[in-house]
Amino acid sequence: MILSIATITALVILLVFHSSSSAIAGQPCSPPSASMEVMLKADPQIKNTIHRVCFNCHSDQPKYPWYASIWPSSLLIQHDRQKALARLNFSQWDRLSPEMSRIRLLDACTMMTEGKMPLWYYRPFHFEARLSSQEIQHFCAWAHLQ
Amino acid sequence: MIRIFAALFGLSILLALPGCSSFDSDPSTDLSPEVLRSRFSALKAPAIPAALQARVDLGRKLFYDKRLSAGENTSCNSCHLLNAYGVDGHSFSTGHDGKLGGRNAPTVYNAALNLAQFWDGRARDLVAQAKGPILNPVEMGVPNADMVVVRIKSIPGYVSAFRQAFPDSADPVTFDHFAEAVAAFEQGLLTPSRWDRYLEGDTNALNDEEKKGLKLFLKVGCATCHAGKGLGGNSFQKLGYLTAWPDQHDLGRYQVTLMDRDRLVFKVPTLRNIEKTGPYFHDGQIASLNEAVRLMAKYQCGENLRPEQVGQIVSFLKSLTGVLPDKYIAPPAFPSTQGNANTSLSNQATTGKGFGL
Repeated sequence: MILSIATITALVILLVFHSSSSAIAGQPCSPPSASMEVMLKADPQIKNTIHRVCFNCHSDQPKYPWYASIWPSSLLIQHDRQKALARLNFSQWDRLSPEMSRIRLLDACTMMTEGKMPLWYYRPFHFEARLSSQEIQHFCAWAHLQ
Repeated sequence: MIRIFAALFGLSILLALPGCSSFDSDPSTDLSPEVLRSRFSALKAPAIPAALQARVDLGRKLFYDKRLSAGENTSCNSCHLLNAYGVDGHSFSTGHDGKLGGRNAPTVYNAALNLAQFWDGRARDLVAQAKGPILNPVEMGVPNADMVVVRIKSIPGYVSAFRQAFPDSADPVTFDHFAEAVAAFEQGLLTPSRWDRYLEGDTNALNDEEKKGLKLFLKVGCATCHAGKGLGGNSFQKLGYLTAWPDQHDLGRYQVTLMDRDRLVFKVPTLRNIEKTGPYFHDGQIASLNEAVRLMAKYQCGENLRPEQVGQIVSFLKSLTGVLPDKYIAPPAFPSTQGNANTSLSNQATTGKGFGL
């Protein structure tokens, strides 16, 4: 029994170490001046919304949940985050023209409005990432003004 | 302990499952023009303001005039052939003294839509861009801006053309004005296509195969970067975002900013006329558009497309090919060099000195 527990514990530690080296590997960070909120002078509610709901996948400043260090969920998170960053990164807004900035914001609005974001399978573990209809409306109204 | 581990493992499996599911978290694939117009804009044929006509006409002459290069054998049109969709079809272009450029020559058509110019975006606009190649040792090879002005002033017809193009200037022949005239001409190099008619509401402008390709283009995520009026040209992106790009030799925008985050970052090229502007990528190493699409889907979007899917996307991309503005790009008559024997360009060329090299 003791041997089994020790084996399982070792396996868990191994998996944790294995995945922490892959899931949390990141890109070089961008300066704050390159962020969307600075470049577009986002209002406090927009900042609050995107930090709370979007930043874990769509910024250079993720706050990884505990299961990001455990295989195989670590692989899922790594995959989702990479794909998310390729499509939208709030930390690299300086790479977009004003036209593309507006397109990305309207895309984000659409994804929120259609309930596609945040991804449904993360929602049960992230109560803080739930979006109210008022927040979505405010984000979309602001996006249309950009 | 076992129960805790089992719970963790079960949770992990639960979390991993949706990654394999068919739940659609992809961007909208609605093909209605009204919806598409939130991500794309129709391009219209340019209208040249009458006040700028003289400047545009001057820019056209300068664009075509080989006498402005150090060897009198290279013009903008040598690498950006206006009758060939603004490219020369080579991986790297041959410039002054037979030297090769370091990157593939991008098309000048629709370049006015770009957020910056050159693959690495080192020129903020067309005016800044026009100052680059003429002074580049491997392109037109003129040693400095003053020599460009000397060369232009040695051609009497140009002095009067600059005066007409910049009537308010006391000193019309300047390097800045040279660049402004070339840029004014390039502003008019726009090529609307069937895609623009579709966006404006003519849903018959694309056939069924092209619509399938468009749907796939949207679903795969190509439109993340290839959106807007130019379907590209309006953002910078890392080449090899999801999978490391095989050739890491050219560091791209890093050479401009010296920031680590800009390694392998390039300006996203426009997809307008992409059918006609190969070979592809900054190094011009991919000759086939189908292969270019397959690589982009894999390295940028993380999707391994089947050949028939690639074919569908390529069908859509061909709808982006516009009609060349034949009258606008017709080669002009150049101002004569006669009457100024002291600065005979042909003499400089034959002595091999050119601009004092």
